[in-house]
Amino acid sequence: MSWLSRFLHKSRSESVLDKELHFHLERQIADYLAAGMSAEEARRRARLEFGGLERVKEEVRDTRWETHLDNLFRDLRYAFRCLRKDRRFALIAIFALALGIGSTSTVFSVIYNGLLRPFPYKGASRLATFYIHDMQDATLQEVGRGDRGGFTSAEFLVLREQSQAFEDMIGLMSDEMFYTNDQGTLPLRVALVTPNTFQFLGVNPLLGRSIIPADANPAAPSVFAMNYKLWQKHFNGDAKIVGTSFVIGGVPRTLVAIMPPRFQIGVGGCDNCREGSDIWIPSNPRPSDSGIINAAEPMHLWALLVRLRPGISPQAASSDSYIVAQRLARVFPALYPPKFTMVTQPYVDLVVGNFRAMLYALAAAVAMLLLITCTNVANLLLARATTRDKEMAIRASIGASRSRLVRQVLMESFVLALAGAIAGCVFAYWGLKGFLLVLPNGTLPEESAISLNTAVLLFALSITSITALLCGLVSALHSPRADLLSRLAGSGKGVGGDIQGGNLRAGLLIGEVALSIVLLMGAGLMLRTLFALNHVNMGFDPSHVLVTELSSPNGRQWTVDQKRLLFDRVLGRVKALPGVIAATATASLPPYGGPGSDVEVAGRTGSARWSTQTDLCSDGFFRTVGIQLLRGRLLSEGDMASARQVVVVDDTLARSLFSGVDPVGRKIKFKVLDLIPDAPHNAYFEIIGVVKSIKNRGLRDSAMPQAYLPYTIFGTPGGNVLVRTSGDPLSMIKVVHETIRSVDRGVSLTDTSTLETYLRQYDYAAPEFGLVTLGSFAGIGLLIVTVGIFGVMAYTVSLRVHEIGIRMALGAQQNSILKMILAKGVRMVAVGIIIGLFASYGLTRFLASQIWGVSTTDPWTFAAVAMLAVFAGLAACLLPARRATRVDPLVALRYE
Amino acid sequence: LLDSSIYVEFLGITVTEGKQELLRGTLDMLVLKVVALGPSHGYAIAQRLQQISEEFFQVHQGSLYPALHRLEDYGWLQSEWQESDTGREVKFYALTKKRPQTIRRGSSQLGTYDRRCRSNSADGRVGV
Repeated sequence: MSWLSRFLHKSRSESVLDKELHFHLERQIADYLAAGMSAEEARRRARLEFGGLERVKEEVRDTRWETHLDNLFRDLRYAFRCLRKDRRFALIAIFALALGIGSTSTVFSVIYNGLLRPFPYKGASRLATFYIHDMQDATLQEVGRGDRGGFTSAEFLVLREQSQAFEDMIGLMSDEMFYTNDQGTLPLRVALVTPNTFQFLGVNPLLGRSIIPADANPAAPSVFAMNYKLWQKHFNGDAKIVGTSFVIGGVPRTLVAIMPPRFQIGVGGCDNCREGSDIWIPSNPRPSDSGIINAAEPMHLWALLVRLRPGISPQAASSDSYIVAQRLARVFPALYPPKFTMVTQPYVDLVVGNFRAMLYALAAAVAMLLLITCTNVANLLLARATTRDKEMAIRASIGASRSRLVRQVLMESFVLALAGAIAGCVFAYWGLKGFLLVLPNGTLPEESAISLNTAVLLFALSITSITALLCGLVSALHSPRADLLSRLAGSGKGVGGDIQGGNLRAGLLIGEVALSIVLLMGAGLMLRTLFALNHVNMGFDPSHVLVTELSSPNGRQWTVDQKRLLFDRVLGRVKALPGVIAATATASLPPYGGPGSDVEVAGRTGSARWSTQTDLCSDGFFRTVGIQLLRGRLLSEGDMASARQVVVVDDTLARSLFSGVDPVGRKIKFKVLDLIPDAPHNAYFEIIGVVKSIKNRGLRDSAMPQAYLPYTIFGTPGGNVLVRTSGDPLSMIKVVHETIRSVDRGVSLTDTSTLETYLRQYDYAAPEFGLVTLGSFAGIGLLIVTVGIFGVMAYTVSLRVHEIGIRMALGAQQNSILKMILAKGVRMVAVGIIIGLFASYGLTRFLASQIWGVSTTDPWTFAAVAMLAVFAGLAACLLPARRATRVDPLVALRYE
Repeated sequence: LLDSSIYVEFLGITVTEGKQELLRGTLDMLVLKVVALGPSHGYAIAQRLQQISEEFFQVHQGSLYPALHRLEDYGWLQSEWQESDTGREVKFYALTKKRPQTIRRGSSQLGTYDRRCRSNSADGRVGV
């Protein structure tokens, strides 16, 4: 290739060009000589006609594209040289850019991998679930009524058959089964899945074969697929177990597939966590079990997962499935509320839900941080550009075109941005680790693989280019503007020439300050939220309480007697342990309440609807949780033993139902019990005592009326045991477990933890996460802004040394000089703060779903943030201002 | 970033970018036509163009060279160092086998340009 050889042998191609052009000139001169001109005249005319030799050469070079390549390298080399010469500037700029690009990439990675592309399944963006929404009462649910996301087999089959909006539909049903081998039993979270599940999700197994619909035939041998995590944890990733038989749930089943790590489909355990099941067993929905929903076993319903047809919106799918559901409601009137709708929910929303707003807030925060960084670096570059004014003017005057100069300046910012991006990726790598550490459990789909993948690196690269442009453009456009003559003539530190640049710098600085105020406001509101949550009066002391959940080994219902016997002995032995103050059985976990129920007061008629939360507990409950008795008596051991129909209510219930009149002795009925097969139906419970209210709908919502019933009134498949300890509850886990096992070896113990851990997970984790992330972004932003203010002020002072020298020579005091410089800085910061506060006023409302207990326009937060910014600004101005006061007039004026 | 109009010192006419393209194309065409008569070196080509019109290079003859190099880069011209009639090593330009597809288009462009130049020369300014 000729361009390549020209590129590699530049000097030769240069000399060849030189020779060619000189030949032209010499021939011309020779011709003119021959025409009789004097040697002098001939040379003069030939040169005049030919034009500038160097310019022609430059134009010839411009026709070759290797020249552009060459220029690029030259600019690159020059940029490197310049930055190396000004190492302090380069390091500050690269560090700032790395922070900006690193945090942006981190948040992008979380959003992209966790929110936009979390699932490895086929057509993942069209996956959706739906539930029945009770239009009349959204807060309180009776079992079988109200909002419901589980469907009976009959409903599943009808919906699958008749809905037009879905490509296909699968059903999942959660179950607990025990894997039994020689060593003992292992509880497994099982998902019974409809046989089309694996085809529907389109994920091939890591090992073994995919499960096909034929596997669910009654005649076919029972098979199952295993979760990668279980395989690693309990079978050490042994590939040989595929194809072997396991006794699970008392039935021998063949393991045919081990699914890849990201295959984590499962049925949710609690509200905001959705765990992948340990194993998946194909199972056909049986139209025969279409009957009523058993309140005690609400799990025997299919959770649905559908893939919407392309182009069908969730709204359209909702109205389509509503038509089918209306038909179903006519067939099974008991299962449907009088007025209801179907709600289709994108699958990812099921997991992410409310947290999406937090992620978007973070995205906005890092975007602002990046903008702060860019502005800061732009400002630094601008200051440099002003000192290099003369250099640029010289370049322009010896023939550099404007685009060439702009390119050169941009190249410099590009080199900076690229170095920043490389360092930023390192930051992002660690940042992501830290991010995942503080990320609350279950806020992102388990399937998501959050890492620095290609998409994130591409994103980082593109924001790097944008950053380079943003940083460089201001100074690039600034430098070649003014007319050459004055810039060449000026001293380079003239006051007049800098006014325009000074305004621009001040403007950028004000913008930076304003952005950092918005970030600080976000962090401040999260801090206030966390503070408010930490100071919620729950009505009881959650510390020193250990929680464990007992369930019957085969998932079967305990009878009332079995249950009483077991818990009686368990509680008796646990209470006797040293270090245990009290222990109790409960159905729910304070402060998260229990199932709701409508209530009726004996002897009272009327249409008013009263409802309450209920809890089933033993006599030790009030002592364990620490609830104060107000009137009457508490539940006693005798109440438990004989399952007496008595109830303790809280004062919220007493107030709302009996308007302050002493309710002890009155009788109330809990309608929810009528729906539970072995519970006392149509029974009125006598109120024996009134206790103080505690929070029962989480920390954020106000308390609902609450009733405490003896746990022995009906059987269940499980229940919680709460233990109040005198020391650290976690140190008691082992001994409590052993004690419970000593009563019954087969009982399974799950979710053992402290009450405080639960509180942390449900209520504190999200605001803590918000505080840590927003706080670090705001902190980084403030740091960068402070450095920025310092840089600009220092530069301003250095420009005005001369002026200050004159002032001092004329008798200005150090104090007034200090005031003058500080005033200038503080003015800029103040304008930034005011703009920032106004912007926050408009922007913090987007955080509204994440903050609690404080208004989005909380004046205290505004004031605190403003103070913080003023202090940071003053600190940043002080050093340059003090330097200004130390200007020696003699030295300053000597350079005149 | 760039000024909206570019000043071109070619034929002494101030042209905008679009017209600059036209002029560049025209110069290329004329150069190709001259070289088509037989291989020749830059100086000879310039002389020939000068003969066609006394005032062809109203400003600088040097502007011929970027055109020559550009055409060589396109592959329409090839060059070779040969001895000239005066016995010096000179770079000779000749047509290549590769015929520019744009010649046809260029000719029609040239037609309009010719007409404009002729009307100009009627005012006694430029002629090709």
